[in-house]
Amino acid sequence: MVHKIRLIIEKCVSYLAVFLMLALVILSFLQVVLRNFFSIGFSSIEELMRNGVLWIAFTGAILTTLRGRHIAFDILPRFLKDKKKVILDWVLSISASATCLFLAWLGVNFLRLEIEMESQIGGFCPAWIVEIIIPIGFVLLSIVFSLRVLDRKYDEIAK
Amino acid sequence: MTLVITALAVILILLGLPLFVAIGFTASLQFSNSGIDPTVVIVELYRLASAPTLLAIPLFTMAGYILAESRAPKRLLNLADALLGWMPGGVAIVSLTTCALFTCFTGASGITIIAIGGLIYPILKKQAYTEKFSHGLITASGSLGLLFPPSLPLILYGIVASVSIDKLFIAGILPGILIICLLSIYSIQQDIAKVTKRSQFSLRHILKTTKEAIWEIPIPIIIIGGIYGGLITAVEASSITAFYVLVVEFLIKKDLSLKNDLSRIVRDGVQLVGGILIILCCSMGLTAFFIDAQIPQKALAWIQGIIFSKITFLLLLNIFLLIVGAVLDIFSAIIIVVPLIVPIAISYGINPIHLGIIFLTNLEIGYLTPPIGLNLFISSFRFKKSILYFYRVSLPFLGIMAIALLLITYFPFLSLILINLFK
Repeated sequence: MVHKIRLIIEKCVSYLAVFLMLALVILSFLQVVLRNFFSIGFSSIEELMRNGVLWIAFTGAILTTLRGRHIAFDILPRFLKDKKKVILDWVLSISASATCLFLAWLGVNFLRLEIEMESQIGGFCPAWIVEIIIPIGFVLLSIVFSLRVLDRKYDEIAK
Repeated sequence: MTLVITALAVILILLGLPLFVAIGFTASLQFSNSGIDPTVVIVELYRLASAPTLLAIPLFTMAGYILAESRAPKRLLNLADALLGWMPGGVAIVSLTTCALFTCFTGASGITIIAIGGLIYPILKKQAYTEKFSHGLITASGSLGLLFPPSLPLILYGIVASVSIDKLFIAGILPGILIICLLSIYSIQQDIAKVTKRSQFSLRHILKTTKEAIWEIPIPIIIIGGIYGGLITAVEASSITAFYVLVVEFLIKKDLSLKNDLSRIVRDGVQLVGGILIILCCSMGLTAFFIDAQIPQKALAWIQGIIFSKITFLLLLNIFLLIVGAVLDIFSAIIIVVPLIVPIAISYGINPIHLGIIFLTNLEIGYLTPPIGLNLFISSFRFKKSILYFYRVSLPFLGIMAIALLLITYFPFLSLILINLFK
């Protein structure tokens, strides 16, 4: 069951990542063509694309977590063996999961503020619709970190 | 209390907690501790979405990943060999330039040694270069090219230090060429001391390899020519490059297939971008706390009390950055250290663009610095030889790069002259 959840998350996030990146490549190229050859510029699209990068950042971070390849100072784990290594890995994963959950909660507070202030992106889109990736991203990161402890087949697939 | 939290953060990082988690945790704790709502961390995180050059990071990374997976490196290597292989040290210089070109697209994440090292080593060996020289050269080449556009670390420095990326792209050219020239001179000297076999100069071969690489040749021209000619900005160059590379490698050269390769390569690219940007996101909060607690000013006052001259400061900066470069990976080093160093360096009269070039040159060398420079590990892994062997063989290269570093540090005009010319 746990393993299945992990696979579902991986699949959905991968699709989202590919979609976002390709959309970014095509949209930004169109934007350059329109601006330089037809002198048409859409500052709202530019703003949306920059927000898209934030989405890419979170989907990428989730994929990185799924594969256990986050940038970390991993000198100590190299010196530990079998059981001690597993215990350290668990402690780190649980701490990371808890921290991400806390950051997600801060993200919800931020969203509440944005809804109250009726912020907009590109002059038409309510900001919270785009910014929702912040709490959702952190919640997913939290889930994925805790799956590291729960899913025994985890490392097989991460490789 | 601030100190306790900082100590806790350091312990967590040393234990191996992912960097972004440790940073996010520390930032929110520090803010709560000073009586400020920690939601500020997210407000600051979201400020990243208003950085105008942010788009260049995913776009150039994507272009780099596609190029790396295609057969473009092989074609470019052939072309460079046809152009330079006949001269003394030619093949070694070909290796240096190809690696530099490749690294500036992919960031020095070890891909160069793994992918290109495997292509180059047999060629160097065939030409009768010594094994030690060949291994040293490949290890050193793994981080070469970080100063050339569109290197990801350069863009990241620009974003973190709020410096124009267009200017950084221009500033890196001469110092980057200097490093390659010095290493080339060493290669020529090695070649003359122990004559190797050289290939024949052949115009026909040059034409043939040029024709093969005809679709890749415009890429540097788009980036360098476009930006230096003032036609496009760095972000526009990234859009054009990403789109161009996608079309060329998938539709024109068909090195890669849309069905089998596209989603895998894009996913790998997104993963790299995400891994870096999430650290940047979380560190926006920590930097805000530093500024709020006036930590750069305090550090500045402390340093100004002990270091009086610009020259001493630069020397100590070099030593400090070499250590940073050896223990932290390049992206986290930039994200964490740059916000603290920039205000201090400016107070000593150092141009932030020149500082960026010093910073990256140091980190470039940090990859080769024993005991834990990353390139040494990757080479040891790739060529299945002991790490001590790689300490030894890369030493001459490390020495030459250290000379280049001193020149780059103490002659700011190397970094700044082109900017003044292209103004």
